[in-house]
Amino acid sequence: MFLGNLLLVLGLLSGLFSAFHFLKSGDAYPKTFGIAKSLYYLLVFFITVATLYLFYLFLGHHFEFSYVYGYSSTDLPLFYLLSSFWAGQEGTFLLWLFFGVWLGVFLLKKDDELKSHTMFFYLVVQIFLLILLLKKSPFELVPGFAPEQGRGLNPLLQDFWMVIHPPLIFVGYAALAIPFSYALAALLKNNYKSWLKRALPWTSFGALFLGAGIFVGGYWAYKVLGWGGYWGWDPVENASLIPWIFVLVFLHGVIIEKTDGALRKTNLFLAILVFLLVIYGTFLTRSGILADFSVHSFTDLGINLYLIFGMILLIIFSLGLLLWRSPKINSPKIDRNVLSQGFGVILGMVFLSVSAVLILLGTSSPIITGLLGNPSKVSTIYYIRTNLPLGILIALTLGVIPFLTWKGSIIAKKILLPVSLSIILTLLALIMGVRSLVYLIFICMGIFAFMANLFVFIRRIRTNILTAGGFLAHTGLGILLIGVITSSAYSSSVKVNLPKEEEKDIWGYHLRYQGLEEKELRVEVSKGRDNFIAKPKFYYSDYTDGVVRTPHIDYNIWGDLYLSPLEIQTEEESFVMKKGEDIKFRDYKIRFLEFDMVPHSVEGKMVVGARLEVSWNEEKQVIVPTLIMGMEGEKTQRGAELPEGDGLVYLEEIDADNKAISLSIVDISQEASETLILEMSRKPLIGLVWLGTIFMMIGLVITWWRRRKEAG
Amino acid sequence: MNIKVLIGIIIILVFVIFGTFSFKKSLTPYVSFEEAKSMDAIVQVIGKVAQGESTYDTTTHLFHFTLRDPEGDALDVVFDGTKPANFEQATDVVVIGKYGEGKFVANQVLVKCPSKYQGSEL
Repeated sequence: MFLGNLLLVLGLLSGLFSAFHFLKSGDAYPKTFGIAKSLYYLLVFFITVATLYLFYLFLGHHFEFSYVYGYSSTDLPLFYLLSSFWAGQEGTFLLWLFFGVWLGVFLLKKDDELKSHTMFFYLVVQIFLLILLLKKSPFELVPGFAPEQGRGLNPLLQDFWMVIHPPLIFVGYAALAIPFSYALAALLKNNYKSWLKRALPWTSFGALFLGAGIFVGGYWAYKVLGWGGYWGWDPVENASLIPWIFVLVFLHGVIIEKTDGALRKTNLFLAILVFLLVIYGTFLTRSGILADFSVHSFTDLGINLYLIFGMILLIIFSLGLLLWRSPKINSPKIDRNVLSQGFGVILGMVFLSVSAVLILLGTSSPIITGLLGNPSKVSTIYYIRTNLPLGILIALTLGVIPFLTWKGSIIAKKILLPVSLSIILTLLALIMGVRSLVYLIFICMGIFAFMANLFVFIRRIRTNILTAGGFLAHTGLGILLIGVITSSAYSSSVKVNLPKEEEKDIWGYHLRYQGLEEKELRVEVSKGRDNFIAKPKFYYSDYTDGVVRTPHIDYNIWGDLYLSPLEIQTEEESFVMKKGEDIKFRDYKIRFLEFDMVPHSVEGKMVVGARLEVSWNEEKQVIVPTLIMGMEGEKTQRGAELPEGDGLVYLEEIDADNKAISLSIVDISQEASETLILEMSRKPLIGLVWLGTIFMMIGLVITWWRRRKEAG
Repeated sequence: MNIKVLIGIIIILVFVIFGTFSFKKSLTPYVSFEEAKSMDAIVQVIGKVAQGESTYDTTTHLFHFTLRDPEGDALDVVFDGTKPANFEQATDVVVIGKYGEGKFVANQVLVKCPSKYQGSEL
């Protein structure tokens, strides 16, 4: 505890002094810049050592640290052991800070007149994170004795995509503090010449990482959670989506400013807004304020006051500074035709912003309605209903823009081909079974956006690839939008009962459930020549104290076959027996000896066990199934395994007056008959979602490269 | 007036009206079991599910469970959907849906498991 927290305190001190010297250096005292820089490196040093120290604690299984105890165990493979670092809130704050201070090192390398002030504001953000981290440190000790074994890592998080998801998000968050700092520095110095050029590579970089993180998270949900979707409009998901949409808006605002010199104030505002939304998202998900409204209950860590205070301070200061400077910022009004590319870009920005604001309103609905009385949240239908028309408008804008000139006219000749191709493909969708008018329009616009931008992209590859990033990203967005509709609105699913070793025919597939093998189910699936063994996971996890289910996905160009196990129904026998009585189950003789009362009740719960003597093959063993009863009548059963491992004994009820119990024994032997209930779904063209995503990300990489070159 | 500004104003106005309307319409207030039974609207309830009080009907493919609140009230819930991945270890279960014919018909079941997802962003 001492070393870890000491490092953080030393980091905080160097950060504070460094910030002070950066502010002081400005232009007037160039000498103190060196001091500030050295102090900054000291901060980087302390945070890096603290990060390595936490990794060291995980690798050495130092369970005396409650964070290490809470998220890891000795049986974790190395890869997942390392990822335990960011399995909890404390660790993710440290990870965020670690990326933050290191990005700052690169930020320091560029010489610029705004450098001192930018570094000052950037440090303010890092100090804010550091204070939160100190308040909720990963270096706290477990009270009392050090446990022998840790609690382990949630099995749902033991997945490659979930391992990389948090680092991607936090690199994104860390990077987005940079345009924020540049904007504030520019405002403070009233100097708007270079901030945008400097901030741009970081903005594209942040957009790339945050976007990749969001989509990786979605893919993980699809692959692991088994409900069949990749996006649930949960506050935790929305919290990162909202700033991301605004980054995209900002990246487009920049284009206008670079060509026309307009939108200066808007861009300053957007750079600030994006990071404020990152902080607001953190507040929403970390404060526990949405605990009753989200699947992911982030419990209150006791950092609320700090979070709210810091957030309000940042909001007031940054927006106040902008308002104060705003009258002096000269932003020329450029009057372009409605048919100009510039106007199209602005229109796209408006649509994106409206979408983000609506999502923001929905996500904040418990707070908004809470202020008026009864806190309630909006259902997911709200997000779908409001974003559907916006999606259409955005796709339309994306498709038209390539055929407009910057000055304001339409290139009618070139638009004919993509328009006709879109109409043909939409007719194809109609023949394939898409009947809803809204979805047809949506798909048509998606195809149009895809086609239109693809043509430009291909042309740009040959001329100047660096300017092609945006078009590739737009091509990707078009593809993504088509995939979203086909895979969700036209997904079909059916629930099937599969008794063991019995063949069932569904949708032309022959399915045969073969049984459970090492945490995995074996289901033979065949259709014509195509056949495979599906291996969805289905097992009991001590960590979650419940069954973990993971679907099997058969990836296919035309759509995935998604097999999600729901239940396994096994044979179960029930018995009622008094003290001293025997019952027979298979070759076992089971005698109820006595109750096994656990004297200390856990958290107001009563724990009762039944001592059962099991005799078989002239051997004897005592097993104790237990029943835990809570204050509100809820029961939890801890089954006990029969000696040969072919049955599970559960204590169902106790009758203390008559000294009787009722038991149920589940046959888990090889011969037992069991029925698997499987949900089988088709996700038409869901691959388009991921393909579109990859295009968007490559587009962002190109944009980042371009902006990096421009910034010099 | 400038046509572009006009377009902008119209778009924003349309979405403000549309957004507010959708927002109000899709709000699902948290209510008690008693209130849920008497309301003809989509609402949200929270409670606990005891082990053994959830069953999956293999013929109808409906998932049934009994929700209990701290006052001891019970609410029978029926859900036409997949049993959530971590239903068993839930401390609380949030159900969004509507009451009808003696049962609360769930559209969505949210499982709350403190510390399990804590820290994972998604």
